[in-house]
Amino acid sequence: MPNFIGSPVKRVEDKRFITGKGRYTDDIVLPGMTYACIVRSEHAHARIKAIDTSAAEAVDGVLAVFTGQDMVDDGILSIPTGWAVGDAMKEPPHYPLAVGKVHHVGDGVAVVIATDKATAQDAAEQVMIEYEPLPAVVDATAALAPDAPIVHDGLDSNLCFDWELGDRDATDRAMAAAHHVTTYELVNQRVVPNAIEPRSAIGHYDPAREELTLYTSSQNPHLIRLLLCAFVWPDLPEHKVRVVSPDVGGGFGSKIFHYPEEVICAWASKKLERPVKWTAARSESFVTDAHGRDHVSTAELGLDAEGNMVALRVKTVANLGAYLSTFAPAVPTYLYGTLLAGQYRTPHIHVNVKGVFTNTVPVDAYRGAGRPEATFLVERVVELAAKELGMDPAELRRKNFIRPDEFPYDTPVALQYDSGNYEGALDKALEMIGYEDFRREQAEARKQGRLLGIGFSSYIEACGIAPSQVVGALGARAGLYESGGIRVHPTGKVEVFTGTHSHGQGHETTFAQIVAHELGIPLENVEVVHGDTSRVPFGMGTYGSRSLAVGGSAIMRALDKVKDKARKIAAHKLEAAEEDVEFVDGTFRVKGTDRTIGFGDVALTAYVPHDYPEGVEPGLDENAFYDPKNFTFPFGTHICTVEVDPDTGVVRILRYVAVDDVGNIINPMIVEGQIHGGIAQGVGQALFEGAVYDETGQPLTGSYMDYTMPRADDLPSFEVGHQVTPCPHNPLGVKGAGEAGTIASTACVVNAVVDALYHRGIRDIPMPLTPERVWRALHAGGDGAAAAAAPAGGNGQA
Amino acid sequence: MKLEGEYTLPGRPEELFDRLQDPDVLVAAIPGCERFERLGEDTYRGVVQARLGPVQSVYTTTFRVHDLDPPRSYRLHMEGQGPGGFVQADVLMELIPQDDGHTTLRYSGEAQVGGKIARIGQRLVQAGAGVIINKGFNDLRKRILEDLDADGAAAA
Repeated sequence: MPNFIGSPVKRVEDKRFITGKGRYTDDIVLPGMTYACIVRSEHAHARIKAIDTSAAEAVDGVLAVFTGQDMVDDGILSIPTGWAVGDAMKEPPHYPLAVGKVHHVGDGVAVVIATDKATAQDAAEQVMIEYEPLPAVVDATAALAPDAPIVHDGLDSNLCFDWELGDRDATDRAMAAAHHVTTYELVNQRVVPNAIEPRSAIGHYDPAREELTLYTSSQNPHLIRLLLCAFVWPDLPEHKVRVVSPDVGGGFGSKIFHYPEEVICAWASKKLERPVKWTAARSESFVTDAHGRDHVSTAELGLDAEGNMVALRVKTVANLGAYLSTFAPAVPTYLYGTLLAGQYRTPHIHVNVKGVFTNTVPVDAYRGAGRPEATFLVERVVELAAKELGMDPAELRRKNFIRPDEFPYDTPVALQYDSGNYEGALDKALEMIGYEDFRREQAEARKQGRLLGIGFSSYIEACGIAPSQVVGALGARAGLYESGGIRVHPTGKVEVFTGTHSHGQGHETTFAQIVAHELGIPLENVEVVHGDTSRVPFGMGTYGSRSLAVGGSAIMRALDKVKDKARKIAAHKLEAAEEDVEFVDGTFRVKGTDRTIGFGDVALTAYVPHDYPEGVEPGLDENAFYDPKNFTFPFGTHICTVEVDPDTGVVRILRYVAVDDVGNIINPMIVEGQIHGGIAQGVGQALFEGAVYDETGQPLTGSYMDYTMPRADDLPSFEVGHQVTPCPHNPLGVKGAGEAGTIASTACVVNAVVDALYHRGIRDIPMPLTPERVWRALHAGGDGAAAAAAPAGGNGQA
Repeated sequence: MKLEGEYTLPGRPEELFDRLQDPDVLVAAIPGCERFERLGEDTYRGVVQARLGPVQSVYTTTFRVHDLDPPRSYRLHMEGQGPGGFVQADVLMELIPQDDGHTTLRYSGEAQVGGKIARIGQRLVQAGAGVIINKGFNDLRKRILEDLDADGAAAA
């Protein structure tokens, strides 16, 4: 029997994906299907004075036109957020279609439903909306000004929450006593998630059974069902609702959230008693998928004369957009402030975060969700401190790392790191990149006028957010456990049920490997089922690199139950005591004998219990729920080298080395793929991407003509190294690998570019580091910081 | 978006000023204008088919002429609304007499675009607007030449 754990098994789901046979929401066609087109606001902020739907309704093929008021009148409530940050957090209503006022370009105002998509689109142009435009605010810092336009009626400012973590007084005292303080002001710019599959939803109400099926491109179907039935549409009974997330083409966080279109399609389907489908056009995705990042921060890092970090003080203004998306309040707080210790022993840390409403697309979790923002800030300010102190950046990091014998380590920002070996990862990365050789090469190149640089990013992340009791105390309105089910069929074939969801991660392979390994059966005898609330026990979906650490652990628990029961049955058949029976490679054996029974025979016995142990129920079908004890803490060091063309400002990444410690690895090929994709996404933010608004709230980067995604020829071949420090508190010893690349790579690349240019007086260039910005910094007469000064807010690129 | 430029028209400011307010002349200067009607003293509404970058759309547009200072200057306010987005512009039109009996029509102002045009065609808007304005002035010039010829013929 092959050992499936740690084996680079080819992904079983790829057969359908690479042959174009995946079944995504938009591929589903139901009898009597109708098509929705949503009329969206062109104004960032305006009062709706009148909506004339008559012309649209008169179009041949149009079945109905609904407005936000129609939905509210029919009992549809506001979409809530899933997390409360403090009691004072402001939570203005978010109706599926705007009522009274629009709050951002792209806000839905009306929906046209027709017998075909083209008719719906044409008729949507006939919906006449009379607006009274209002002054808009785009920039989060500007939104805090006393005379700023107020985004939401009924609020007296745009401040949603004012949150802090850490000991302010102790941090201030340590900072005041510091030998050196490095100050860094930064903009972590807004980015657009750009999953390859645009969002899609189908509402299918069966009036005879009074049942609703909602197909949706979601990362967590159970949470969507819960939010829909418990909060948004209380008249809809949860047990009469099935949410199906079939194949989903990428999420990166943007498909976690409960979106208006899911409510609209579900509700309209009941009104019309026909299935209603909506699929975003790419231009719609740009203005409706929750955006990521958008922080403006000031970081101060205090160090003593020996280069020990003594205090970190951070102030951040986080742009939340126009509405609170599902996880929005948690991202710039509990998933950001808690990570500001990084890998370092900094004893005093204080962070203040102001969450602010603006007339922009809502901002929520985007691959890494808070941890990339924290890592960027920490790794950039540490890099600058090294430069200012004239220390080697690798050595400053090494000097301040939490040491292996200090775990479990309580950070000053509320986390307990359970394990780690930071120096090990750094050393491996230094060796892989050939650090000393590169420094010599860099010095030589500089003599010839060439600009080479090397950048570091020693990151930590917290994955598998948990346990439920703790996150509940921190304001989460849901638990963060996971479900797993093992259904052994009479022939010994196995179905695995997981409450996580796979939208590119390869769960159908990784989870099957675990089950095949544990039961000693061939991989092809295992089928992984996910994404359907009618088939899978209540689960929390996939985000925050939690699926394997939390969902995989639930599967392990269910496997334990299956094995325990199977052992009882086997012992009975083998006429032996239970404790004398061992289970090895799919066979139960009386220890020290050749008396055996295979797993398949045990399964058959469980369902044909003619000769069966007393007091044991028939069947072999077990569920488990797993609530972790703690987060998991993957970490690593990434190092890249770059060359900057002084004539054009173009940055070329020469080499990229990633040493990640994600704990035990089930499928190294999948992990490596995750690291690759993650690095590319983080490089995208460093060099290319940025969502730009004009001052009136018009998005200017609304298509791929103006929003630059990283492409293959922008990236080198990544050199991936692993280190394994198993997670001490989950049964698989795994930590999560989905976001590590993105968390590390943005700071890594920017640090490398600044390393290349620091001797020219450049200590920072705001992201994205486009050729124009780099060139301007280089040609600003040495005062690079001034030339490349960050724009006032998180949106400046133009 | 800044709108700025100038164009030379035949005729002196005194000959041109009223003509430029004439709905029949105005409509000639709006490429793609299909229906044009007077709403009030200084206000007109037209349905304009326009293409800006990749966005082709029909805009219901109101024009308002205000701050008249004959024959030196006036302001033209425009608001267009359609499925492709919205355009708002307020432009100062100055009539500057030339020695040769011609007039330089100088326009300057601000335009705001929103919706799909801004999102998708933003960087093509300036160039696109230039093409539309040029075509508008060419058509206007032709129309004024015809008018002046007709006047001349009538006078003769």
